[in-house]
Amino acid sequence: MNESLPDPIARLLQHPLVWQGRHTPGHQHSRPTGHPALDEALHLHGWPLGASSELLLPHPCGGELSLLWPLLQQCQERWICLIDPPQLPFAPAWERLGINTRQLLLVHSRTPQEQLWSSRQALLSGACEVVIGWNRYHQIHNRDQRQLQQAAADGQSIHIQISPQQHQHNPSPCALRLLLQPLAQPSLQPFLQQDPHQLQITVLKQRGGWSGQTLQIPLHHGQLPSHQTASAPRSGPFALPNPWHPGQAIHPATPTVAIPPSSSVPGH
Amino acid sequence: MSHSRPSRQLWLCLRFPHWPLDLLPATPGQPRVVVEQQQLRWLCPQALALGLEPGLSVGNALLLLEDPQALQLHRRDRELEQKALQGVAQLCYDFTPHVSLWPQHRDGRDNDLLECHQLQLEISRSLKLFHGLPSLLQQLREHLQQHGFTPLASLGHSPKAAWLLGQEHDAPWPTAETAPTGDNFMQQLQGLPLQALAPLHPTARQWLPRLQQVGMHTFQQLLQQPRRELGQRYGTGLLQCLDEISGTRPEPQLEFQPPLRFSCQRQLNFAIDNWSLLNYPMESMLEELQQFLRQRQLHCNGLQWRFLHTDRSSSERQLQLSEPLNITAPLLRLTQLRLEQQPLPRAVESLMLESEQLHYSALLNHSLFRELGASRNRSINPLLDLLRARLGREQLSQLRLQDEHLPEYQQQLVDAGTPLPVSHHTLPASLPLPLWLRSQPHPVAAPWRGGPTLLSDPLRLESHWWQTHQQRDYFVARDPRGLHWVYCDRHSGQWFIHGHFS
Repeated sequence: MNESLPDPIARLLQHPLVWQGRHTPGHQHSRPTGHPALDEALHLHGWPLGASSELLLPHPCGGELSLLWPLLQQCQERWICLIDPPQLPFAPAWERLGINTRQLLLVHSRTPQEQLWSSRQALLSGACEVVIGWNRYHQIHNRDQRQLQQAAADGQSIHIQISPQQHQHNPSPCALRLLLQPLAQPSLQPFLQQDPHQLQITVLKQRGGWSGQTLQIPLHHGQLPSHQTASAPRSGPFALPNPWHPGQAIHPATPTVAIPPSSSVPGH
Repeated sequence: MSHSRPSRQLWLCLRFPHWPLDLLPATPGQPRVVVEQQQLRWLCPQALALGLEPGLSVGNALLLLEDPQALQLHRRDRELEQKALQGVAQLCYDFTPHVSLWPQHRDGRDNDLLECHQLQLEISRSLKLFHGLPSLLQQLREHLQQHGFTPLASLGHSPKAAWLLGQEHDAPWPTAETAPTGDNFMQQLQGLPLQALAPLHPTARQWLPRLQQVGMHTFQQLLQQPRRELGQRYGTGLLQCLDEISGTRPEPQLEFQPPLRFSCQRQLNFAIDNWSLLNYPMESMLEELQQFLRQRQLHCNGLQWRFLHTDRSSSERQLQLSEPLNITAPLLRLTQLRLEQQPLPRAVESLMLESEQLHYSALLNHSLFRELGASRNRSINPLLDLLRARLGREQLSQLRLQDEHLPEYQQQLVDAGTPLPVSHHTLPASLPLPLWLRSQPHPVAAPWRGGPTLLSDPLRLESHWWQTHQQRDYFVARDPRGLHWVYCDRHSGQWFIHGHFS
């Protein structure tokens, strides 16, 4: 293309000091999720920027952060805004994952209107890279949802909305909808499950792409040291270290099930 | 006596002959008078048409009227007049830094000399900036008219000359093409009756009747007299007055200094209990604040609204900003949110806006290409202000890391917007740490009594032996809802869920 341009212009364009508008970062449409399998399934290869994504969960604190922490890790310039988080974020753990908790804003609303309004303002302001809202109330109306999405587009933010699983069959204008299910409790078949800590993700909808993909990502990443969690659960009392006589263990009363030997901990 | 000394000063005298009437809330059609010491002092045209005159006592005036109820009597409020005049001086400050309220009565002794209200503006140094005298006068006039003030104005080479010339000419606004010189002004002054000098100097009571006795009635006659003899016969007061008129002796002016504390007040014509109507006065007051801030290159960090209700009670609403502002629109929005969050109890009769938290603006550099960075580094502060105004300060928080042993003390909830230090200590990866922490540990049954299933080895935390000694064993545990962080309190034997892995 440059051959057809007059010589001086072509030379100018090739000069390294000339800044050209198309190199701006404004052309990105998504942020990588940090989970290669999920990136693969999403046609934008990441979380849609300037749009709403809905995560449907059986209950709050049900694995959403296992999915989201790589995204939060990327937010180093702008803020992360949590609206009505179900519990307090435990900042030392977040810091350990590399999330900047100095730019973490917690907002607690009292009414559904306040929740919607706060989400919208946080998105509109453009000061927040990611706004995560836990929907504690009834399903958000279609119109409000569109407003939120528009606000996310205006503020170039990522809006993540976490809703109860029951809403999965209701239509929603969100650009991306994912159903999150922690895999069947391994305690039911304690010794059959090979890899118990998995989160199953089903793509319910993605704007401009096919849905229906199902994939698994590791659950509780970075929160549990791998060698400390036992695949075989301890269903009964255990040997507590005795603070007074370090050599002896204390056995709490009435053991109902035999204590599995501590050597069953994997990684040894 | 020489008057040929070229005077470079140019004074503009703004007169407000009906100032007390101007300050009353507008009620078209009804006659209004301002009363001082039981005498009518200022009358609106309707009142004059009814046959009332200044100087009439209130009792007589009411007797004269067919419908005494229709007459609105207002007591004179000197403080309000002074304050409002300072407000006009504030407007004029846009055009010249040399503005003074004139005459300056320090002790109230001379109050009656010049009853009407004047501002004196020295504009010779602003002519170039405003592209000449006609343009300056035109802009000043329009500026004042926008704010509802229509003063009479006159030019002079000294404050006294400007005032005297205003008395002589009836033109409400000077129409000079070029700035007249001192000589022009002195010529215009010649024809002035001597009586006009009466209010200009406190000693005029002594020398004016004696001058008139010897047959001097015009200013011209007085100027022709030899100066020394005048001084000997009539005292230095006369000479001082003459010199101040001619500009050879500068008249000391106490220049108006814009206050570094913003305050403005609006009296509403009727009580408002429809809050959307309240936006109009609030917006105009905030615009006044914006102008005030821009004139001084200031930003404000917070402001205070005071609302006076119909039952004479008052309520206050504070607005704190996390980032200094000097623009009307966000301030109005925040005020509206603040009022939504905490509505006013009763109808409002008058409003006051004050701000003392003023700071000099820090000049910022903006990036040349907007898309390269401006939008990425947008400040959180406007958002915090908005959320705080609607939800309240306590609904927003941030987490501050602390060096402590017990998990609940390892972080502290602080007000959003608090600057947080960078923490360099990270906990070792070998510890299980949940991403969610319960603000209150939730008691559960022991694992062998149907509680969560333990998955990990215990982690012993001991602390606070100086208060209530805490000794806890932490475990990773599972129940149907997922993985939890549970602990057993070694003293009570009670089990608690303290956090959730997510």
